[in-house]
Amino acid sequence: MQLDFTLSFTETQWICFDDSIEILADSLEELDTSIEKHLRQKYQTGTFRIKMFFDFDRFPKWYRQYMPHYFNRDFTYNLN
Amino acid sequence: MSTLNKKWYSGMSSTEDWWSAWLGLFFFGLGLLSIWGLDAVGWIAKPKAWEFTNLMQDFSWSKLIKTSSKEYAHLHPLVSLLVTYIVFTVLTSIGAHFQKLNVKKYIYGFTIIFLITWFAWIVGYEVHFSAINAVLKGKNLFEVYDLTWGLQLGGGFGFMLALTIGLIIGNFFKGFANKIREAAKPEWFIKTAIVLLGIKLGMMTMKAAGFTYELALAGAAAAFVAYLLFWPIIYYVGRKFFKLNRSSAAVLSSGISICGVSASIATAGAIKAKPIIPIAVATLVLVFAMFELVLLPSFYTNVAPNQPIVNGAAMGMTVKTDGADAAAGAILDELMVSKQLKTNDVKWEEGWILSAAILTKIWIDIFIGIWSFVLAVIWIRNVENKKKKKEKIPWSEIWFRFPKFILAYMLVWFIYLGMMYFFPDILDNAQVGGNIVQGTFRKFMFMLTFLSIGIITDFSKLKGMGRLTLLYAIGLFAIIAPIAYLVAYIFHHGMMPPLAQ
Repeated sequence: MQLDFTLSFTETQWICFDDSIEILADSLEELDTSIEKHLRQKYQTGTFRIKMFFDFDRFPKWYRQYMPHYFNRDFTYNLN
Repeated sequence: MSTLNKKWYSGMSSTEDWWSAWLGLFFFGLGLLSIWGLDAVGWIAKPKAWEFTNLMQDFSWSKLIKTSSKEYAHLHPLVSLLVTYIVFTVLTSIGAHFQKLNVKKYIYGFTIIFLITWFAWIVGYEVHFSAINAVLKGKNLFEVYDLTWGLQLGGGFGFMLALTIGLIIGNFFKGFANKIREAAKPEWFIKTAIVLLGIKLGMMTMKAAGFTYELALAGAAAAFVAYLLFWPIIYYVGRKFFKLNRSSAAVLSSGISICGVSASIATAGAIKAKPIIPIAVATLVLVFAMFELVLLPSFYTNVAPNQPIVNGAAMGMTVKTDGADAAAGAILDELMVSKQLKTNDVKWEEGWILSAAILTKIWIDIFIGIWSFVLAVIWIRNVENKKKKKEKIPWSEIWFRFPKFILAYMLVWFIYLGMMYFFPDILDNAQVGGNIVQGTFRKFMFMLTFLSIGIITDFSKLKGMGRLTLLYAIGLFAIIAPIAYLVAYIFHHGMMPPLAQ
């Protein structure tokens, strides 16, 4: 199963969300752990391809002219 | 609203990078209409050489401004200027709309920037600042106006004046700067100008194909060698002597040694650093780029007046951000061509030194996407914890970080090459419009860049960044600049611009 998330950032925390869930964490590692926990609760087992797309609008306007992309993530969880 | 790069065509209508390509290609297309005898670009206003006393005795706008082609010579100079304003305001406002800028604020800011730019451009053409004491196109302006003194800076004075005015606004009139900042987009303006420079490169290839290819290849080799040296040295110094953590050292290394702000964002993205890190580095890059822009063109011109292409290539590897590099290259081009004419009565063709600076920078811009990808793979494998998940780096990351304006620059160049090889009969007509677009249009975009880059540079932002500032200063002036010059010399020495005809 593939799940697409939007990735964003506040002053101090990473935010990952889709239409049904929003997860906040201090680091990406913590974020990944929370996602895994969420997947276990919701689906128990399975293989999940996670795609995260960073929302570039989180950067200040003046900054966006230099590079229009931060990063996307693509990883797989095997919860079997 | 979110901006997500999901598909290969994401951002085509919303990023300044793509809009540089669209705007540049649109102007290029307008210029090409001259192939069929249609002059669709000659209306653009351009400044004329003028003398202060002469103007005061008998004021006339026609002494200051003219249209770019004789087809439109019947237009009053102010009408030509008004048409120029309307065309550029409308086209860039459309771009601003799609880039999600505040269009009202943009138009207000652009109008002010347009007026100041033209003021600086016109003043820059006053003969005491610009005229060279030598015969050019059959006349010596020093003798025509009976001048007793002159700075002999060519078009360089206008560039420097626009930059100075921008810096004064950005640092002493910050409230005003904030009001017009929406339209101060140096990267957009300069990337559009670089696309138009593709026409110049095409024309230069017609005159000296071998030399142009050699210049492009030497630029690629130099950029590649230089960055294999720069990045690890700065990273090592940052970690060893300045005790930076891995993320900060990596982002700063890219900022100092590759291509400034865009490299620091790309690197930070590759190693998934918190966004605050590249934003802090960006502040350093922008302020130091200003020092480079102000200091290096005069320094190179005076220290190595007989190494024009080496100087241009070194500039491309040393000055960070496309805007500052192209601006520095443009000043260097003006200063070196003027100095050579003044001291040796030899007229180098304009544009080659600037092209040397741009070509090395373009290779660097291409290099950053690939380098970020490699770094991301290294980081995931060696630095990040990856016990439970299997992460891969999408190949699309290279594409999303690839500077799209370079595609337009290359396309324009290749179209000229295509015409040269397959349709040589239409070249003369194509160059009629092409000369105006790569001349007046491009120089106007450069002028906008100079003013805008000054407006957005705020030196006070260096406060509180002591350790990083010190590392940046040492890295730039003690490591990057000397190595860049050495590498530029190795790959470019002996290369000289063709003489102007």
